[in-house]
Amino acid sequence: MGRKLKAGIVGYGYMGQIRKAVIDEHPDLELAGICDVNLPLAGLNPGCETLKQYPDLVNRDIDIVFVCTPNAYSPEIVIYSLNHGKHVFCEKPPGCSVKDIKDIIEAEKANKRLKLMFGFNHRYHPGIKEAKVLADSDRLGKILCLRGVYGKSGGLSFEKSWRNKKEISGGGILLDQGIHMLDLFRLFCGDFQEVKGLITDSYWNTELEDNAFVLLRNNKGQVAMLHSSATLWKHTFRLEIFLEKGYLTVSGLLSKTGSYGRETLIVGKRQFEDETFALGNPREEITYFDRDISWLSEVSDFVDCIQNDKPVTNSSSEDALKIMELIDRIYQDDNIKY
Amino acid sequence: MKTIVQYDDIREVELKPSTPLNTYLKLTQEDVKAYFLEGAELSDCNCPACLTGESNEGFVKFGLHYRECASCKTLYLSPRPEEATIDEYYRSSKARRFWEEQLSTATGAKRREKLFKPRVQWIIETIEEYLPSARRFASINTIHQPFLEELIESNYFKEITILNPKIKLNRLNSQIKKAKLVEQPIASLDRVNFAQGVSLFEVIDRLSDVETFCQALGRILVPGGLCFLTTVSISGFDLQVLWDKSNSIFPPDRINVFSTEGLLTLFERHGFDCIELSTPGLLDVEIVANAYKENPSLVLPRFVKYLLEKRDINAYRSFQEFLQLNRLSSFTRAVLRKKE
Repeated sequence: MGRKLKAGIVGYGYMGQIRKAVIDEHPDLELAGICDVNLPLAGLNPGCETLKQYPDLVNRDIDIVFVCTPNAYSPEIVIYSLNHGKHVFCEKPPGCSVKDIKDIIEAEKANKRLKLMFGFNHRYHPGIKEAKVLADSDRLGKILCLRGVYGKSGGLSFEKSWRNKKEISGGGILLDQGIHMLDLFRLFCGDFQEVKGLITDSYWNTELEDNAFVLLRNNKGQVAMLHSSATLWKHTFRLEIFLEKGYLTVSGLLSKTGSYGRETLIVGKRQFEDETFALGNPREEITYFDRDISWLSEVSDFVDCIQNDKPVTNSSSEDALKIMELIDRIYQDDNIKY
Repeated sequence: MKTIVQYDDIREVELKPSTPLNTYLKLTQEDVKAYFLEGAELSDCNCPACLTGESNEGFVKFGLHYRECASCKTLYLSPRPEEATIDEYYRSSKARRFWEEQLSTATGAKRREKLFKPRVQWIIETIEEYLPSARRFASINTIHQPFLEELIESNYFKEITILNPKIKLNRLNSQIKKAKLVEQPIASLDRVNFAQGVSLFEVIDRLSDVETFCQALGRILVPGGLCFLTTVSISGFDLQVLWDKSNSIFPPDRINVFSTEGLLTLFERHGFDCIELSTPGLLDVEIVANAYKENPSLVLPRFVKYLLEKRDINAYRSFQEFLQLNRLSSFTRAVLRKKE
């Protein structure tokens, strides 16, 4: 094995701490330092050198920068890191706007040998991975349509989170969480040409949307429907994929807190009996997953791209651009301008 | 590690029709006496799963003693016959001939549809997810020709090796002819790291020397290679409830009846990670219900008796689902990956 890649983390909040755990677990990575403007954080001892200004970390002898900051700050740090010769792994969303990701791509183009990947980790969840294998196998025929619900319980002081500050986040629940479901829609069906969106701020009054209802259709006639919400009052993740001969449902998500419920994949086969006899209760197989491998798997892919000089094909800057353009069109469809 | 829960409409009688099954059990009892009780060498052993020496008396079946491991609760035959004697039994006993010529033929179409086709699909889909480049597969100690035919017919693998089959294969079968046949126990093979995937369907149940077998398994699989295993587990509801009265526990078809905990310990010790451990059995409750119907004086736990007497098929199904979800059905399947 070659030398370990040295990694630094900018932003040591919820995501930064998850990334640290992955770096600690990965055999080819070594944590070289952490940067957070709020350090020292009460009760947190990362066990490595800590800095307050990100250039001080980026300019060290490190290979990778993990950018785990709020949306408004990510583009600047990603661009700075690329321009200073570092590979970058950046959390979603890739900034607040289409312009942000376009600026990032400019910096990527100017530093071709460097790898850039975004944290669309839902692609790596075991339920999604298995559903993708099944959908691609053609065992259940072609995909007809998708239906996704992704929502938060919206706890005490939800509205005070930075995620609901327009100038820092750039968007509401759709940009924060719905983006993952849209990414999965693209993973299964490719790009969508027709876009309809209804955006509401029905409860939290944060000036950002707390519900987004989205209808999409692509050139193959596949339709996808999303409800992204901060008013479900229960953490919910459910992706239903309807195919010619059956259906796949990924429900629940393995997460740090387990609050989305146990991750399951239901595989149902359509009954082909006469409609009179079809009981609407087809044969199903349910897989229950025990371990969240998504964080480690996506970082392993990224490390593989660096070590073997492979292009980033999963959660690439192109994926990030397409998603931000899609979200922009959804907002525009309901005349939303943040 | 993941767990699978399945729903289907299969019934016990479709896979194990009672009249031929009773004949098979009667013949097995006679053959066990001839092969294992009259002059064969039997050796005591520790738990084949966790190697613990401490055990409790289980019960006696066909004159041979089952013990229950005090630690992992695996049920195992001790003393037990040697591998060569068991091989001889599978090659030439009347019971096995009856199984191959009568019982397996009578249920062949159903088994192919309900058991073997889904197993091939399971193998292919798991390989697609975990080792998509794998195209060299070996079926070890198989007792199911229809499975081999389905596997070969899938045309998924470039190379299929049938290793040490425990049945008389119909070599004229057009599918079987396409596979490579090696009639040699895997422990004596010189080739190493040649299989990217292997199947062990109802194999570990019948092994006398589990340790040697698992060491050999580790040698023939490439690092990262996948092992697909099915077995009957003593953690299952019907076996725990019926215990010595179970028609599924008898030598030599079940020399080892591993608990799920024992199974994990065994393969962890031999350098495997467990990707999937499921008990997607559909028949536990029905098997107990049928046993009770046939023999109303059967002693059952009060709760089980109440369930069988006062609840209907919908409750049976819900209970079966609970068993599957909690890995408490006796039919067990696992996917194991050889550590890199």
